[in-house]
Amino acid sequence: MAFLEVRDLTKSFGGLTALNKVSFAVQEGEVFGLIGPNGAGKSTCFNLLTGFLKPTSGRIVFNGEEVTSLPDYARARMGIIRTFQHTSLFSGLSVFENVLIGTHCCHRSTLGGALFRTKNFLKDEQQLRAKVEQILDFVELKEKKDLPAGSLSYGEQRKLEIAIALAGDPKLLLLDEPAAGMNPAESRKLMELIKALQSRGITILLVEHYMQLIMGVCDRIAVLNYGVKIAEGTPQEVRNNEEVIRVYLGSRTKIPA
Amino acid sequence: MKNLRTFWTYFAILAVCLILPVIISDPYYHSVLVTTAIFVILALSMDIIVGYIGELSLGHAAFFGLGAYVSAILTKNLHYSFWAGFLAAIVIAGAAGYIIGFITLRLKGAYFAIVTLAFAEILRLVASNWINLTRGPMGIPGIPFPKLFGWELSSGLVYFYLVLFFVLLSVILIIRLVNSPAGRAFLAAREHEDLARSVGINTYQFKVLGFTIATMMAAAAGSLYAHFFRFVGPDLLGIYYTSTPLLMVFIGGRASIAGPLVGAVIFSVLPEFLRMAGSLRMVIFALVLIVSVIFMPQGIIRALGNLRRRKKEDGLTQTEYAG
Repeated sequence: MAFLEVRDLTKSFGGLTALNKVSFAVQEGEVFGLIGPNGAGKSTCFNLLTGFLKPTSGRIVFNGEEVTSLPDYARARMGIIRTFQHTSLFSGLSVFENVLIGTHCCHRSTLGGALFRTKNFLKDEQQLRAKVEQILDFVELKEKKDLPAGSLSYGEQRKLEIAIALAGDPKLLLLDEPAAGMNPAESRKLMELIKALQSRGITILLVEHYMQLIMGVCDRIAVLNYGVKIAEGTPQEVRNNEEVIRVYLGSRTKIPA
Repeated sequence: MKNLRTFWTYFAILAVCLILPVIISDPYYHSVLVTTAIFVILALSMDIIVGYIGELSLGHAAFFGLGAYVSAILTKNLHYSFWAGFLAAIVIAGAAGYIIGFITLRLKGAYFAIVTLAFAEILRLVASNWINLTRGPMGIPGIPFPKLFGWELSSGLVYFYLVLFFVLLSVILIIRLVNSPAGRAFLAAREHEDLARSVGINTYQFKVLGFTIATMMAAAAGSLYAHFFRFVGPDLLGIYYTSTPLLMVFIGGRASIAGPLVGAVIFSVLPEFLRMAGSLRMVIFALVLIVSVIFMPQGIIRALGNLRRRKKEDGLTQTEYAG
């Protein structure tokens, strides 16, 4: 069985069917891309996978467990962690605090442990703080850890979002247009970051418009159009698919490598 | 070095709190000190709601008054000890807070504020009309003083130390709560609810938790109030005991320990100082509040912090020029 299995996923908003019987499977350890023109249903699909929306019908199975009806926070605890399309940070808090909040599920101590400052609580707290330092080092934000998150540059804020997601030990990391608004240099760095995450054993599902990034990092890609999956395969296969070229680009121009 | 300075600041504040009531011998001012300390607890509990979990409660008086009434009825009518009444007040108000939070914290913004406001008003009406239990508008007089090891805490001086003990307990509770996953979950829910849920925080559950803890603290304050003034009436459930801690928190500064503390002290001490202004007392007090809200919208504590930072930066640029 696949790591993440999506079967006949459908979502209607009133009369509008945003996603129509979409099925695909993501294997453990791969980077899976989800592309399509604007309004194709990518974001809807993303929100269904993470529990921010409830599907009209269909099933989502993660790691052998049915998660279709689980709430968003419960899925996050199982290791399905997402980032957001629009930069989402705890902007009033420091960079360090932002990532520390991300470790929420890794804390095993109880409220009583926290109030009486038990040994286990202090040990957990110390371990998690060390982990936050490591993550900040990994995304190159260590020097900025005491600054308010809102004061970071745009590129740094996007890195911080990934750092927050990483703090929760994701098994499946879902990135919603991580390159949106980035310049080519920042996107190249992001590509390296995604590959580094993959080599750490994290499975990644990526929604993105920026073709160079998609083609550069994805092992497999699914293409959506008007809520229907029209193609699936390796970047090479997708790039040469007649239908993808037709609906996605509207002409016979080739998708850049 | 910074930690050391913080330690000495706290130490100095505590020392002043311990010595002040001994220097002031006037029992009237002792009662001002006790009231101030009770309002500190009430303001700290309010800050958990408006500062940390970021909701607006307009019914905090409900839990303050409920605590006072439970404590009063148990000790006066049923002859329980102060400590039993105090604990029962906390447990019962906490249960009420849990139920209210459980039902209404799913609602957002104004709806939550309206339900809490309504709850306080319902309790006030019950207290005014359930004559058999509460004696209605006449209230319950003659509530016994607390006893500690058989010793009656009847003087304002000693009572102040009792309340101060609970102030300290509240401060430690909040510091430990805030520096734990639960406290960070409060902040996360306040700052960005979707992001909080995306990292596995059940924001609703933590809001209920924070609200319940706040109502328990308010009930403790209510019980302490009842046993000092030895009288409870429906007024304790009125809007005054909601608006006052709310103003204290906003004027002092939200989401901090120092904010509600400073707010409560200013609110209690300033009107006493203004007695020399005679009938203009409340006019001047209102003006001070308005001016402070206009010029320090983040609260006094943050305004002071910004001032210090600016001074430091000025100092830096000056040395740069000199170099």
